[in-house]
Amino acid sequence: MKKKIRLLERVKYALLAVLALYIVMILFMNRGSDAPFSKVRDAVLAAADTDGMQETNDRDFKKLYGLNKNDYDEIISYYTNETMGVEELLLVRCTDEEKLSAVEKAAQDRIDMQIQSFQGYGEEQTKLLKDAVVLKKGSLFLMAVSPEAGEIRKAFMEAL
Amino acid sequence: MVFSSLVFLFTFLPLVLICYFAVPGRAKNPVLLLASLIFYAWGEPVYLFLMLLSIGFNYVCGMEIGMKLKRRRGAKGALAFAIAVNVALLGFFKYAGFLVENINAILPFDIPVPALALPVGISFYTFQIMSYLVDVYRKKAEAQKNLISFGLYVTMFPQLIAGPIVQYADIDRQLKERRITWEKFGSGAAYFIRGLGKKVLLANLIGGLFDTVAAMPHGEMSALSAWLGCIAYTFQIYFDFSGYSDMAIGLGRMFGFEFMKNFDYPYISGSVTEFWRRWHISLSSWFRDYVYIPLGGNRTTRIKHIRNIMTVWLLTGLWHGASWNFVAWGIYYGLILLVEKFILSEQLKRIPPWVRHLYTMVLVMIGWVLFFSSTLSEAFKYLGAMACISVPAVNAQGIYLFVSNFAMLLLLTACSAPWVYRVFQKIGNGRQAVRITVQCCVYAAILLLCVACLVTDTYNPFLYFRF
Repeated sequence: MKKKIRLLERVKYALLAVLALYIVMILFMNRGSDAPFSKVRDAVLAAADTDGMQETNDRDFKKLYGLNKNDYDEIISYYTNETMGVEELLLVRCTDEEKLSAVEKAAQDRIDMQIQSFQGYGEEQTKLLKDAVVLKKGSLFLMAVSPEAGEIRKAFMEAL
Repeated sequence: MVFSSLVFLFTFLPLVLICYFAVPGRAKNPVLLLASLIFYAWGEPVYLFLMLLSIGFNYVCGMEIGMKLKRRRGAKGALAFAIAVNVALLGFFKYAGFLVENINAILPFDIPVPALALPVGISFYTFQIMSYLVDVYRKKAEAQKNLISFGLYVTMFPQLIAGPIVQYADIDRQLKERRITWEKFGSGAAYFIRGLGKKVLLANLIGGLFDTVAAMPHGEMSALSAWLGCIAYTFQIYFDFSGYSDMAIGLGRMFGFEFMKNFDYPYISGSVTEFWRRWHISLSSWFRDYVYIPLGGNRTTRIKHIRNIMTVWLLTGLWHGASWNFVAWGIYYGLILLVEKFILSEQLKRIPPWVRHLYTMVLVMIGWVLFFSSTLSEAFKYLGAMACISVPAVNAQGIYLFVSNFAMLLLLTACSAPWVYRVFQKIGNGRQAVRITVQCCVYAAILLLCVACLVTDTYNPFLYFRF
């Protein structure tokens, strides 16, 4: 029995070590980034097709997300003005966790509302909305509703 | 994945039921374990590995405690170590951000706040694991030698995400052997549909009223709107959480398990003490069995008794979330229970039942304000609005909300008391065939209505998922 207990203790500590390693890995994966905002912005814009889109002004931004664009210093926000279009791109850096969470919530609410509007008759639009990228990494937040959502996500991650 | 979603109702659940009933008895636990892991991974693929590691670690710890008990050496130390690791894990994922934010408020520089999402269900499954370790140590149950059975105990999808918190000693036997009958399956299905109806037809609908009031700028709010918002949340959280618990209990029964009741019509209580005997019973039982009684319970000096009550309530508050609101919420209830126990116990018995009920509901609703507000200052601002401080008593919007939701509020009041269900059970005046026919029609109608709502609804998770 003594041998068995010793074996169990060894397994226990080994599992604990793996658990610790796993947590470190999660922290590493979720770490923020020191990359300048301009670098992330350029990478995201290079991957996104913004031809049919326009940059939001303060009023558009308030209408889309219910937030004040001026509250955020480092931000890019595009939307399509086509009636049946759903493409949107939003990238924000903000060190205030509360403000960043507000953006995340507003973006998710916007997507949910758009899904509700298009579900049932806009099959393509609904698919784009359901495949949208909504991602928070440290102090950065990205939302992309676009046929290139996957590429935008990849460019964003690589730029971190 | 949530129970009240079309993918769960029409894909996941039927597939799991088919597989579960198609395989022989020996293979039922592995099927249910696999289904539970898929269920969890559906929403939390990153944290599935955390749960698997936690299962492995605690399985080994349980065996170690069991063996050390037989040798009569070192079991206490092994238990303390295992509990410390589990508490540390829960603490890291749930409270690290809160702790760092508070330290940052004092320090002249900022420590980076860990930006980690809370693994869904971690508070529930960690408590179940700790129940297992303590029950083995107390010799209430043998250490589980079968890894699949232990994994199933931790991950069982009906109650994995939001309880009821199952104590190991209660389910140990069922993991080895359980009776699965069509009668039990049917009663489980009825339980499940009742829960689904509570969530989709009642909680989600009244949630709309709460959202409307919560989104009002403070300047536009009146005392009437504030009270309506609070009443709406009071009903929403009850039907949401008790609906989830009913679905969990119903699903458990369909698979042959019996879970403990989690709610017993809490809003008919005549005191706050009674309210907590009827609300989230599995959590209260857990704290009673694993914290309150080991601390000495009420069989000690008055000072220690008070300490024990306040410790339990502080922990209950913190269990619900890493924020000062929840700490205040826990202390609020701790203090009320102390007052009821030591000062008001005799007086409460003498006052008319309706006054007791009113007193309880007002205190419970004030508690919910602390619970739903995101900061303490917001909570006090909201409570100020309810007390008519710097807002008008009534305005046009408040009257509109009251009139348009009046029928709904009456329906919810009726449904939160036991009488509606009692009448439903007595349909047919003893003629079983009539009762069964009517009940089947009602359950079918509830299910159809729920599906109709879910088809047009957006994602609507349960309120208790964030714990």
